[in-house]
Amino acid sequence: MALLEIKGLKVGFKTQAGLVHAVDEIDLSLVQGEIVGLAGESGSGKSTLGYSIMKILPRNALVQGSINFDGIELLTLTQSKLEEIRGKRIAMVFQGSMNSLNPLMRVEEQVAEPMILHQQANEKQAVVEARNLLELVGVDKEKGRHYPHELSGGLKQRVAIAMALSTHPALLIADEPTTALDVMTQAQIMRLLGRIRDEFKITILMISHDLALLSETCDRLILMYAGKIAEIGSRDQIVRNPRHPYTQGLLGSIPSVRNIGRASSSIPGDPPDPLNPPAGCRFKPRCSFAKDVCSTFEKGPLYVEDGHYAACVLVGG
Amino acid sequence: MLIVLVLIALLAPVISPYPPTKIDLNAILSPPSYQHLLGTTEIGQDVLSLIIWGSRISLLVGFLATAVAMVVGTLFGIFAGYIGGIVDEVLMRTTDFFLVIPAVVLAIVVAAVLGNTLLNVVLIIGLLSWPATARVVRSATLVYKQMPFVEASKGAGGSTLHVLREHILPNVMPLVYANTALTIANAIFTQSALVFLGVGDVSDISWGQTLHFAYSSGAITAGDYWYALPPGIMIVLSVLAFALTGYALDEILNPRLRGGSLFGSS
Amino acid sequence: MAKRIATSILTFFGTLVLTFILFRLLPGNPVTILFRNPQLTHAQIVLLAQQFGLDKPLWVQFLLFVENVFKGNWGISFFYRAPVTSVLFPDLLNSIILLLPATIIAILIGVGLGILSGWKRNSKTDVGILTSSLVLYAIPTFWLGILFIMLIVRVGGLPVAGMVSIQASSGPPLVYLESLARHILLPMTTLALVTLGQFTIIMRSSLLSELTEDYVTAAYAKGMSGSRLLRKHIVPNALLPTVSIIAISIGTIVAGAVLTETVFSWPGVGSLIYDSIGRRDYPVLQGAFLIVALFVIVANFVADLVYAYLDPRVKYS
Ligand SMILES: Nc1ncnc2c1ncn2[C@@H]1O[C@H](COP(=O)(O)OP(=O)(O)OP(=O)(O)O)[C@@H](O)[C@H]1O
Ligand code: SF4
Ligand SMILES: [Mg+2]
Repeated sequence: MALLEIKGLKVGFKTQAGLVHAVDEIDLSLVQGEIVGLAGESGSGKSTLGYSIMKILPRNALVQGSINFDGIELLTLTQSKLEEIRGKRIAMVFQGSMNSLNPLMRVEEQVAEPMILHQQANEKQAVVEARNLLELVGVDKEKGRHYPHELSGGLKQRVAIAMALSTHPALLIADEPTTALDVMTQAQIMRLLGRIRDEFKITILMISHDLALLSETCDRLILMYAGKIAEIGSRDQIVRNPRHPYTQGLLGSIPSVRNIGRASSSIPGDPPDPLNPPAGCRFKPRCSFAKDVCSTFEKGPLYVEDGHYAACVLVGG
Repeated sequence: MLIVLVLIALLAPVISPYPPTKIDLNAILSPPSYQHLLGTTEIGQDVLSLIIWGSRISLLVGFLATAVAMVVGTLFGIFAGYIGGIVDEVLMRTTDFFLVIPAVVLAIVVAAVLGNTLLNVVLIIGLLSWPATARVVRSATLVYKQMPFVEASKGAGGSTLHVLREHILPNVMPLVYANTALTIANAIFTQSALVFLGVGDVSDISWGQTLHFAYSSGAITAGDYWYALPPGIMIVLSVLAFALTGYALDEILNPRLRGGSLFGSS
Repeated sequence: MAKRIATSILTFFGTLVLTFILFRLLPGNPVTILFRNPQLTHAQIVLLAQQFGLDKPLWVQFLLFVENVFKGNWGISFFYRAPVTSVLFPDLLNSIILLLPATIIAILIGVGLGILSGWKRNSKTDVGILTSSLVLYAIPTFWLGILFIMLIVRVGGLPVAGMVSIQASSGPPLVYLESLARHILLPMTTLALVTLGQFTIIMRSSLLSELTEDYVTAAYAKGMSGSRLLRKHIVPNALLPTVSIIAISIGTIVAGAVLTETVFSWPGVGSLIYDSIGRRDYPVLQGAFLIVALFVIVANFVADLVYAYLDPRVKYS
C-alpha cells in the first residue's frame, strides 16, 4: 500500500504580477521504504511540491487536490492534528539547510526539540537522545554543545538530518540536501541517507536538480518540468530508456565515463514563464522533436512500460 | 503632505491672515474666534499666522542642517569606505563617537555656550546628524569599490578623486537621499527642542518658539489649549511627513526579499 | 571584551576633548569664561587659576583638566558657590529615579507591541499599533508633556511639577513615597510614551526580517505551534538587533529625559541644565554634559554586554 498518495495536486502563488503556476496537476504515490528522486531544473516546482506535503507553504499559496498520507488526508486536516504529523511522521531537510538551524541555539537542543514536542520527552532525556543521534549521523557527541556557526557546512547538514530523524518519521523529504557542499561531502551525505533508509526503513523523497547524483542512490526517479511530471520510472528505466526529450536532454548533460572531459551539454533555452505557461506541452519551445500536435497535448504521463510513464506525444504513438 | 508644508512656508506672506508680529491689544489670549481662527497669544499675536510663518524657520533649519549633515556624512562615508585602512578606522571611530554621545544634549550645551543665532543652530544640528549617513554611504562605497566598472576606471588611470566623483558618488547618492528625509525630520525635531528650551533662536518665529512662549508665559497651566496645540501638531505632522517619506524611499531603494512568507498575510 | 572597554574609554576620552574645546577654546569663549565670574572671590580665582594651570601651554592645561575630572574636581558652580559635583550628584540620582523606570516600561511595552504588530502584520491590530508608534515617535517630548499638563490642569488630581510635595519631603517614608509616586506618574508616562514608539517600530521590523529566515520555516516544520515558534525561536532572535539599536538610541532617551524634566520641573540633571543655561553657570553645564555623556557611554557598554551575552556568535570573538 502506498504511504503517500498525491492526486491532482495544483499549487499556485498569488503575486502582484498574477498567479504563478508552481505545481500543476501532479499525481504521485510513494511506497514504504523506497528512495525516490525528484529532479528538475530550477523553478520547476520541486520545493513547492515538498512544502505542500509538509503544509508549510507561504500564505499566498493556493492549493487544490489531495495529499493522502497513510490514510489521512493532509490538505483538509486541522492545524492541531497537522502539528501531530508534521515533524513527527513526516520530516524535512531543507534546501540550503545550512540556514535552517537557529543561530542562537545549541545544535543538540535543536535536534532534541522535535522529541520534546512530539514524544513528551523531558529536556534531559531528549538531549541525551539527540547526542546519540548526532553520533549516528557522524557528528561528534561533544559538538552537540556547539552553536551552528562553529560547525562546517557538512556538519550542519548532518545536524539538519539528525533533526529531521529524531522522531523516527515514516517519510523524510530531503530538499537539495547536498547543494553548497563539496563533492566529497556530497557523496558522504548521500551514502548517509541511503544507510538511514536501510536502518530506519523510512521512505525518502530526495529533491535535487542533479539527476546524476539522484540516479546513484534512488530506486525511482521523477522528472519535473514547469510544474508537471515529465517522466517517472525506476532508475534503470529512466537511465537506460529515457522517453521524454527533457529527460534525454538532462541525461545528456550528465558527465559519465564516456563523455568525461567534454563540456556537458545542458538543454538550450529557458523554462517557460510560470505566470502564463504555453498551452499544450510546456517543453515544446525547447524540444527538438516538437510537432504541431504538441500544442494540444494536455495529457498526464503516458504508459511506457510497467511503472514507467512519460508525458510526451512520442510515447505510444 | 510634504508639498503642502512647503507651500505653506513659501506662501506664508500670502496666506497668513495677519503679519505674525502684529499685536492685537484687544485680543490677548483670546480663544479661537472669527477674527483669530486659532486664537491669540499673551501679547495678542495671531496663532494661525504664527504657525504659518513658523513653518519657514522650522523647515529652513531642517533643510539647511540636513544639507550640512549630508555633505559631511557623504564625504566621511566615501573616503572611509574607498581609502580604507587607517583612514577608515579613524573616520569610523569618529563616527561611532558622534553616534554614541547624546547629540541633543550636546546641541543644547553647545548652543548655550556659543550663542543662539540661526546659523549656529543650523551648524550644530547639521554637525551632529551626519553619522548615520556616513555609515550607510561607507558600506555602499565598500560594495561599489569592488565593482568591475570602478576597477576598470582605476585601471585606465583615473585618479582617486575622479573615480570617487564619477563612479562612486552617483551610485551612493540614492542612499543619501533616502537618509535625507529622516535627517530633516530629526533636524526639525531637534530645532524645536532647542528653541523650546530657549537655547535656539528665540527671536525668529518658529513652532518651537511659539511653544516656548506658550510654556513660559504660563498659558499652558492656564489651560489655553489653542496656543499650545497648533504648533505641536505642525511639528508632529512635518516630522511624520518626512519620516514616512524616508521610510518609503528606503523601502523602494532597498527592496525586501520576495513577498511570500509562511506567516502573516503577505 | 577588552576591545569594548577600550572603545568606551576612547569615547569618554573623546568627550573630554570635546568638552575641553567647547568650554575653553571656542571663539568668543576664552579660557576665562569659566572663571570670569563676579560671584567668585579673588582668592577662589587664584586657586582655580593654579589648579587649571591657565598660564601653561594648552596640552598641559588639557592634562590638568583630565586630572581634575578624574579627581572629582569639576569646578565651582557660579550660582550655588559649591563644588559642581555636589550640585550634580543629587540631581543625577533624581534623574535616574525618573529615567530607569520610564525606560524599562518603554522597552517592555514597546517590544511587546512590536512583537504583536509584527506577528499580526497587515492586520488591523498591526496598522493601529504601527500608526500610533509612528505618531508617538513624531511627537516632541516637551509637547506631549505640555498636553498632559493642560489635561491635568483641567481634570486635576495629579501634581504637574516637582518631585515630592513640600509637606511630604519631611514626612514619614511612606508619605514621601506616595507623594513621589504621584509626582513621577506624569513625567514617567511622558518619557515612556515618546520612547516606546521607536522600540515598537524597531522590534516589528526586526521580527519581520526574522520571519523570512530559513530556520524559522525549518523550526515550524518540526511541528510546533505558531505561538511556541514565536516564543522559542523568533522573539529571542529578533531581540538581538533590537538590543543593539536600543543601545544606539540611549542618547535620544536621555535627551527626552532632559526635556521631560524641564517641562515637569523634575529636579534632575535635565532641569539643572536648563536652569544653568539661564544662569550662565558654565561649570555646572560642563559637569552636567560630562555626567550625561558618561552615563550614556556606560549604558552603551552595558547594552553591548547584554548583546554579547545573548549572541553566542560574538562571545568568543
Ligand atoms: N512564495 C512565492 N511566491 C511566488 N512565487 C513563488 C513563491 N515560491 C516559489 N515561487 C515560484 O514557484 C516556482 C517553483 O518554485 P520552487 O521553489 O518550487 O522551484 P524548485 O524546483 O524548488 O527550484 P530550485 O531548484 O531553484 O529550488 C518558481 O517559479 C518560483 O519562482
Ligand atoms: S510533447 Fe512534443 S514538444 Fe513536448 S516533449 Fe514531446 S515531442 Fe517535445
Ligand atoms: Mg527548490
